[in-house]
Amino acid sequence: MIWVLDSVFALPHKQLATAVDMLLNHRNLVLQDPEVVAALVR
Amino acid sequence: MGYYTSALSPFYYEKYDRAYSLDIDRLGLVRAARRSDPHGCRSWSPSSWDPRNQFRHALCARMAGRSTMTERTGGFARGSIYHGNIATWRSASSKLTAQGQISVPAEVRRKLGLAPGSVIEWEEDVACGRPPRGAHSSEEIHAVLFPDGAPRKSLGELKAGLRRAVAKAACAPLTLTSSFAFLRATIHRTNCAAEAFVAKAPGFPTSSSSR
Repeated sequence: MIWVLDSVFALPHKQLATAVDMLLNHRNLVLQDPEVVAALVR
Repeated sequence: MGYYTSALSPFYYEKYDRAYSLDIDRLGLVRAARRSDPHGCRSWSPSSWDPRNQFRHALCARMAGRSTMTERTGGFARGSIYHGNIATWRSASSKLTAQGQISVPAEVRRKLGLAPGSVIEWEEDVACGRPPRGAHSSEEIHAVLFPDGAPRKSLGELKAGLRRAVAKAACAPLTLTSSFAFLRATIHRTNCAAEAFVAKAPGFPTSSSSR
């Protein structure tokens, strides 16, 4: 997903980080190893 | 971790010497659990209050063809259910203000008999707690990323973009920042895997036991 948003839609990194942050707090989706993803985003 | 409220009627302090309170569980049912002084309420006998007698009471009720208290109250009786003038409601919600205040919905106030001056106690109940629900939906993420709508891309454009991303990742030099982040993530994953392995193997010799 991040690859597509970055390379196809050319979104800035700030928006990508926002998207990942919202995915971490998603209503229905659960990311694997969320603490690792959160550490990488920060 | 969740919370449920228990509301003590003002009559608890003023008019009657009844020692029960109303508990709202997560299904919207109301249960009244006695807090103290099991002899203070007329509708209860000391033997029915004793949890050791609950099984015997239920068995006697079954043998006599009567329904048990658990069945009458919808499965929430633990021997301490008061089923008096208590009704149920579907669901009600209150919004917390910036000052940390909430309003008790009128329906809840009416059915619980709450009046100005009623004392509401908050108790922690891990068993009834709901898991925290995420705040964002996929539509909200889409709206944040594309406030004017997502531009349409063909399949060829998608594949070309992915090819560019793969080529960029393959040719990109390993910077100091990215290597630190990768190293930190790897160490974290290794530590988690090691802790899980030790937790699953209680007989595994640790460093302190091998000395």
